[in-house]
Amino acid sequence: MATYQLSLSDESKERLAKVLDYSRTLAHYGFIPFILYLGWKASPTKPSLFNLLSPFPSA
Amino acid sequence: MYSRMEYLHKCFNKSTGWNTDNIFDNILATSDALLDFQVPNGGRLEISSQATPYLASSVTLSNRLAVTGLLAYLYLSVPIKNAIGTKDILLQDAIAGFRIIRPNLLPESGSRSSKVSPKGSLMYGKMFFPGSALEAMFIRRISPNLQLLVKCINNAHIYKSGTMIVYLQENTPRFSREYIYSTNEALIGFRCLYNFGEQTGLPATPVIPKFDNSVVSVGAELWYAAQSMSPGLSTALRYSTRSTSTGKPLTMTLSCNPILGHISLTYNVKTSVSSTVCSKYDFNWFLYASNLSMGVELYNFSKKSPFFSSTQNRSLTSIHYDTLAPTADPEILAHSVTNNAQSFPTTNSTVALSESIFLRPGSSRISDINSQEVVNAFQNLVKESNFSSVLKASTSLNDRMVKILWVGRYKDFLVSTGVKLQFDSATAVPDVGRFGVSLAYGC
Repeated sequence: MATYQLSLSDESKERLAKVLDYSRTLAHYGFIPFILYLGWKASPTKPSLFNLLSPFPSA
Repeated sequence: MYSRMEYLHKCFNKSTGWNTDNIFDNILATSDALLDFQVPNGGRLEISSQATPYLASSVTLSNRLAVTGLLAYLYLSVPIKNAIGTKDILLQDAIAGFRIIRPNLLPESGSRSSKVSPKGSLMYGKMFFPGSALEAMFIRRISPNLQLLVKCINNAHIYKSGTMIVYLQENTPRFSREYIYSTNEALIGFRCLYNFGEQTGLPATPVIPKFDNSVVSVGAELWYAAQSMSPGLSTALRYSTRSTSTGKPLTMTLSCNPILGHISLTYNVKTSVSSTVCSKYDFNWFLYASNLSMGVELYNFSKKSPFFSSTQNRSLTSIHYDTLAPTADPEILAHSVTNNAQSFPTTNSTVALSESIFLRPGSSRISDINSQEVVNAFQNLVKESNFSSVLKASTSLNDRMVKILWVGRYKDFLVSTGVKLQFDSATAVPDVGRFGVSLAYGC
């Protein structure tokens, strides 16, 4: 019976680990900007970037 | 006291018709709120705002040992109209307290005013400083009774740089089921809860005389950690009912973990509109160890008008009682509105209603309707009353500790302060375990 095994070279493994590491960093720092983008897109008034970012109530 | 984001999450649950009391995780919610409440540690300031109806932001600064902060953003696909700021918020909505259980009630019949939008999604991100650790949450309502919930933490300083947990939750008036997977030790879990009791909210034959609106919920959870091959199991039973003569609700729970040999019994009763008492007894049959805990919650009535004075409609805003409450009788509400706040408006209408049950002869159906009115009147009074502050206290005999928490208002801020005292078992000298003040502003 044939067995299927995924064989990767050390170089490929290293590259894959690096890609995963980068994507994790991207998700980490990109998550909150993504939330801000969704909030901006959903709103019909399209508030300014300062209003979006500021957690303080605008006067 | 709930953080602003927790409050908005509850508003989202309400506006999408998601009953959290039906989830196994919340089966002990009342006793947890009265006994295991968190006392602030150090100084804390939270300021939050809603830039648009779809986006809320919050900043928190804490100074315990060092100054730390967090920045949180929340996106909702459905506009939150029932969220109100800390100036007008009801205290019973701002803190976790007694929960009136109505899991069987369908959202259509329960919510009298707000239109429920059964689909929607929520995204929430919180970044801590210093260290820039990220906490993220994503909720997707697939259908009115089915939702996907993903939570994750990404932090370079914890094991494997973080963890992720995925829940698939099915929540119907009769039962709820949850399938859970966590990347931490490849943990697989299953939770379920089943409700016995009337389906429609109409009065049924009471199990115990003088008590009505009874709901019995039975639930269990099963866990299996695939990496360490360790299982977990616990079961719980909740009995929730209301007195037909006074309308006061009470909840009893029995939870058991046969693997750890732990059994826990709680008895929670709302003794009046402004007070709740809770007791809990824990016993471990492997260790022959026991513990008795007691907790109390006392609300202080506001000197201002007892009912909403501004343009907001409270029936739209209450997150605890509105979705769960049966349709209110306008006459009862009108009667209670006319009463004076300072002389505890609730008693007159409740007593009048309870007297009418005994004085008015008639069929059992009429007495059923009357008892339902009494129950509704009490619930509405709890929902509509305006409180200025709340005092919570809990003690545990075996742990030798006392916790006191006060939540009130200062101008437009919600203030929370408390202390946790621990007594040394040998010398009985009290030691301050936690002490702090928390200020919150939201609009």
